[in-house]
Amino acid sequence: MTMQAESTVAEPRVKPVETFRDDFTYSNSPEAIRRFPFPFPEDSYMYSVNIEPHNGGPPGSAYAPAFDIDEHYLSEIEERRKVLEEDPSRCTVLPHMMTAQWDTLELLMESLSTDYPQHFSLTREGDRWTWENRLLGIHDTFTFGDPETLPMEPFEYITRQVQGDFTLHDQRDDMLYMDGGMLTCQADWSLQFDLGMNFYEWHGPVPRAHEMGVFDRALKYLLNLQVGHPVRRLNWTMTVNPRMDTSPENYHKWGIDRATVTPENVGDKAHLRVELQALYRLPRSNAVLFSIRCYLISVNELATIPKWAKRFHRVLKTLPDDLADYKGFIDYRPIVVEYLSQFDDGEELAYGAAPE
Amino acid sequence: MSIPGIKSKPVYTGLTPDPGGCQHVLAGEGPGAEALLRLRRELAEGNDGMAPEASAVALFYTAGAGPDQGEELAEGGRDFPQPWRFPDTEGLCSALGDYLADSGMGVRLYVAGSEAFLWRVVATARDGVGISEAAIQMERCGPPARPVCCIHCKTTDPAVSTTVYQCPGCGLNLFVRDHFSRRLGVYQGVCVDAEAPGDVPEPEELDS
Amino acid sequence: MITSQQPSIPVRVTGIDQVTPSVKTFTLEHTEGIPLPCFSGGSHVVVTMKDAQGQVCHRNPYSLTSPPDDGRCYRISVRRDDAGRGGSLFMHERVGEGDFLDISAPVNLFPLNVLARRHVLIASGIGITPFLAQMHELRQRGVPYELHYQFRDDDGAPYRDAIAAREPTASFYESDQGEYLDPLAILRDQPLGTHVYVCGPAGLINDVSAAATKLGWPPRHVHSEAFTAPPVGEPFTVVCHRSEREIEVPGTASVLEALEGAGLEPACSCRGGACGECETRVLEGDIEHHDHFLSDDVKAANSRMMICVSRARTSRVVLDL
Repeated sequence: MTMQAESTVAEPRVKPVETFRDDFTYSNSPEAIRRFPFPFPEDSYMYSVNIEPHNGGPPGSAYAPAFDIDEHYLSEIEERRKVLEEDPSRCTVLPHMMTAQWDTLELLMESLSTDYPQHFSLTREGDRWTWENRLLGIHDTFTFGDPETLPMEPFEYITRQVQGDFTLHDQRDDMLYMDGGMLTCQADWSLQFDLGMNFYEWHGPVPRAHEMGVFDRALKYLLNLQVGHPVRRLNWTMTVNPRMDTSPENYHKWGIDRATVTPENVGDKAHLRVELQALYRLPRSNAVLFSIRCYLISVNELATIPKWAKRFHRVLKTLPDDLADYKGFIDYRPIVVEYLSQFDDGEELAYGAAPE
Repeated sequence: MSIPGIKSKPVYTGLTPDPGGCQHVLAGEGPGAEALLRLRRELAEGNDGMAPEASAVALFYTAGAGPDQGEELAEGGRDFPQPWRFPDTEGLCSALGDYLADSGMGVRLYVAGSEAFLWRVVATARDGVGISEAAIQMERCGPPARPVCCIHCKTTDPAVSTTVYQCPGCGLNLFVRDHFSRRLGVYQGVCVDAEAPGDVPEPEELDS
Repeated sequence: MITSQQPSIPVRVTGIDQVTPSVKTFTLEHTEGIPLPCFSGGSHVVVTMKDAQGQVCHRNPYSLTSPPDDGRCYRISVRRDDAGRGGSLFMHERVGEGDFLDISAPVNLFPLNVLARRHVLIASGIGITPFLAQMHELRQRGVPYELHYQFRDDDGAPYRDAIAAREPTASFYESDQGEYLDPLAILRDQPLGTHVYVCGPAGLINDVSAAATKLGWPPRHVHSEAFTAPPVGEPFTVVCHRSEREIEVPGTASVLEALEGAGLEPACSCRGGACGECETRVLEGDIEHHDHFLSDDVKAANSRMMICVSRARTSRVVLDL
């Protein structure tokens, strides 16, 4: 089910815990910056059905493994634990999705132990499975299919050990319904509220995309997603401070951040937030697992790659107002654009999102 | 944050007899009685002489916040099914759930009342008994007040008539988004002055 | 974007059982001995058959009948159809134990609805196949269900004895003995939250749908295996507008098969007119639609076609390919 030879997957040098709140100690190493999944191959951005097969990528890149584990692993796992402690409903799965929960557990355990054998291992003896996560010091033996043998339901158990958000979608009546999820680092949408919604309702507020037929085409495509042939796409927005939990639930706490961006602090405060979204057909349940892996990079970190600074400047400058408004950064966009202009000499850039 | 064309916002149409149904269950609250009276008359008139037997029509009614039009529903004589009347929505839903649990696949459910009532009844029928939403019609009656759930403290106010309003749970001033959850039967209320505390716009009447 | 020519799974035939005079069951295992993906009840795989020269000669979809949570092997059942396009005959006459085949990953176009409170399964003859895996799944989940299985005679009743031994709620109807299932009687007193599934000839599907409609069932509670084998017809010419090629479609092949034979790789998945993957724009020509995917309006407009099952009424069609 995993499709990566381990040699192409970067060895994560996992940092000690950094914070995504309060004192915001999170930062990217130069290696992490170079492998950041920069989403802009061109100087302007518009919605499209930018879906491609998720079958690996350049060695060491975020696209190479099925589920990317990087230097922020411990920090993101700790942040997830804190969010769930404050609000356990951030992980909710409707009762009819139990088979999909086990599918998810199998997919994640198989993928991680194949891509990162130094950190994770899975031993299967019939239904008796032993899972070892050496990064977190977890060593559990359980019976596959019997939730009583795990400390919590299988979906929560495994997604507490993997970076990125996850949603589970049941497929019925030629439609996908979001019937479960683990959401602690989301870009301003609520699992509790959106739970049970169909594909169109869930994507409801996105401007332009409905009219462009983007969702019709994406849905038709996803309904035919096949086992063993996952697909991926990138999405992006901007976030003030390296804050993972930009949930609507806590908007009254973080919304104020948006008013704190100044020409002096914009380089460190404003972050490009990229979601590497991968979609998997799950075998037993016929459900779809959506993994939404979030990467944060400050404008100053991004500007260490000259091509990215130029390109991001042009994308932001030409982004239509309704999209900037929807993505929540229309008010401080001029400050970011002005700051980035110092890096942009107007040079023509080659097509592609790679650093050079 | 006010974005047109949100796809989750329900569109309510008037109740009309569904000739495909074999058993017609009507549930109403307060001023919803008028919609039920109209529907009951249309059902009795029938479509091409295919009027359902009186025994195939059942009526559940509560005055709710009023007005109480139960007496009007009871008029019409023996040819019309008589309403079962309840003091509140909880009592109505409990009896309706029991009734539907003994019903077959040909049931059509027609609901008329406030938006909070509509979705409370839908939850009873859909989640409790497994009726498909395709077999349910809704007509919103009375003032256009919405059930809204505060995204921050999860308190639901069943009848919010303005955006902005103050959450009865946490006291935050909330903007009412058109984003609607059919599972919870609520709109989403989001803090309106998070980015500029104290800068609270004047409340506007919700008109739909 | 992705092409639908997904890598296939290489399997070896490790067992063949003659379950009735005209039905054979094939047991398939991964050639490398590794587990096959688990699947959901109602799934099918597309089996690719190759002739002695290694050329693809048939690609047929078959329902998986083995337990869905057992990846050690898959089982498919094939009814011999002497009047068909040859795929089932190939499986019966040319495939033996130890032979190698390629199959697609499992795809489910006939899934159980997980919200249903009760399931009514109605099968005729070889239409029993998707239900074999589904009943396994339902037993495990503990959801109430009942099976109604109609067949003409012993030959048309694969797995009757196994089902009778395992399924106390199953009802059998042998039409040669004058026994017919009555969809109205079966559906009349089902409680709210029931879903009905039917797999068999078009006549049975129509009878069950008509009974459900008469009894007021919402359409989304009625499911049928929409799969159809590509029909045979008159030969015609396909003009591929973008690649500027002209390809002859013989009477016994589909447009898709003819294009593949000419070396093209159009997007496709189910090959049965159900999944929508091979939807193609029609620029010129009249279409004889055989799919279950396009709406009646689109079919009438002749603007699109499913090239896996639909054919031309005219001697020439121009497609946006």
